[in-house]
Amino acid sequence: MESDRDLISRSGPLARLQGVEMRQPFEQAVRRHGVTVLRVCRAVLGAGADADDAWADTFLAALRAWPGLGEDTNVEAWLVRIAHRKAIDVIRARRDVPTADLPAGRSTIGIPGGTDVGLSPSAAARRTGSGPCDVRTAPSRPPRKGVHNEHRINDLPQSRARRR
Amino acid sequence: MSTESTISRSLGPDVDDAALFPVRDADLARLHRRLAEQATDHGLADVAYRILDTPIGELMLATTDRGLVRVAFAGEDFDTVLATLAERLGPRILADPRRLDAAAKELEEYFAGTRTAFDLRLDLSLSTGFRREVQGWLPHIGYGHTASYKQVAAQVGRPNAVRAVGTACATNPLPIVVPCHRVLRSDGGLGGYLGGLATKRMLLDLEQAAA
Repeated sequence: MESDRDLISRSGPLARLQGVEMRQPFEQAVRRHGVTVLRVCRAVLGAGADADDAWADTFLAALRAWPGLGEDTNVEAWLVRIAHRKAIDVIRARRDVPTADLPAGRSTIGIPGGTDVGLSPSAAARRTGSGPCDVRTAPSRPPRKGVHNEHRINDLPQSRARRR
Repeated sequence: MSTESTISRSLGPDVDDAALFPVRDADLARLHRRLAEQATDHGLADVAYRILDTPIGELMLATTDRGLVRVAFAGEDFDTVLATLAERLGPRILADPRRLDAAAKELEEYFAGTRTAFDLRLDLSLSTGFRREVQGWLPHIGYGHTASYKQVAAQVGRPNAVRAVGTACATNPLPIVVPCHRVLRSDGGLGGYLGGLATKRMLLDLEQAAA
């Protein structure tokens, strides 16, 4: 976890040496960028207490670092970076879904006609995934005419089974 | 880093943030209040301020942890006042009404005519030297009473410094609480007042009526 000191060192060490330091009242930063920061936190964490905590963590860290910022700092960009990091910290601290461990990228498992040559479309249709990577990408019934062939998660057998 | 870019990419390049993630004013107000509390708890805010409605218009009240440091009239432009406070006292300035509860209460009582003396800790660090000396003496002028610039100069031991006394009154960072409004010209003229002469007149009339 990045320390708050690192937040200062990324934002204008040269400016600080030159004595041109942040003079804007912090309240203005909260007013101008509070909404943006909340959106960033909610985009990562959903609208709820976790996003509220990340918002508070963001602005408290920003308040600590504020006097040392260079006067020319792009405050919004700086706050958004902090907000992202604080939101991810919240995710890492959660004990249930290890979202941080998801690999970035698409799975090639179970895609008919893809590189996974062991599967026919019907075999793919019967396959039940065992983890978040194994979301089936084949539709479970033929696409309706005129309807974009998108994958409707709620139509998957697993979802239907859960609803019964 | 990969987690962060995954999350960012999943939102897509053309996502309309405002439509997808509406933020209510009430949410922000609540978060702001909590932030102010936590900043106070951690001792992080150099200055807390609040804007108070009064019969003489809006007043901005600002405090440090040493005490009330600034009372500003609406005509002074509060953003300019905040910028000056940031220059002089530090930029960690937050709106935090709770920290000004005592000052707000006493001022409300003053305007209601039920309080004749303020009982607040004051932070005088915005003034220095002779100005601070003069401002320190002004509370000796009692509620409902007045003194002339000349008399004040004599009282602080500088009988010829009448103009400097005028400047000290004009630059008083804590009007009303430090009663520079009770200083008039020897000929009875109002003199000057940062809040405007109409305001000075109102304050003197208020005190006359209640005294």
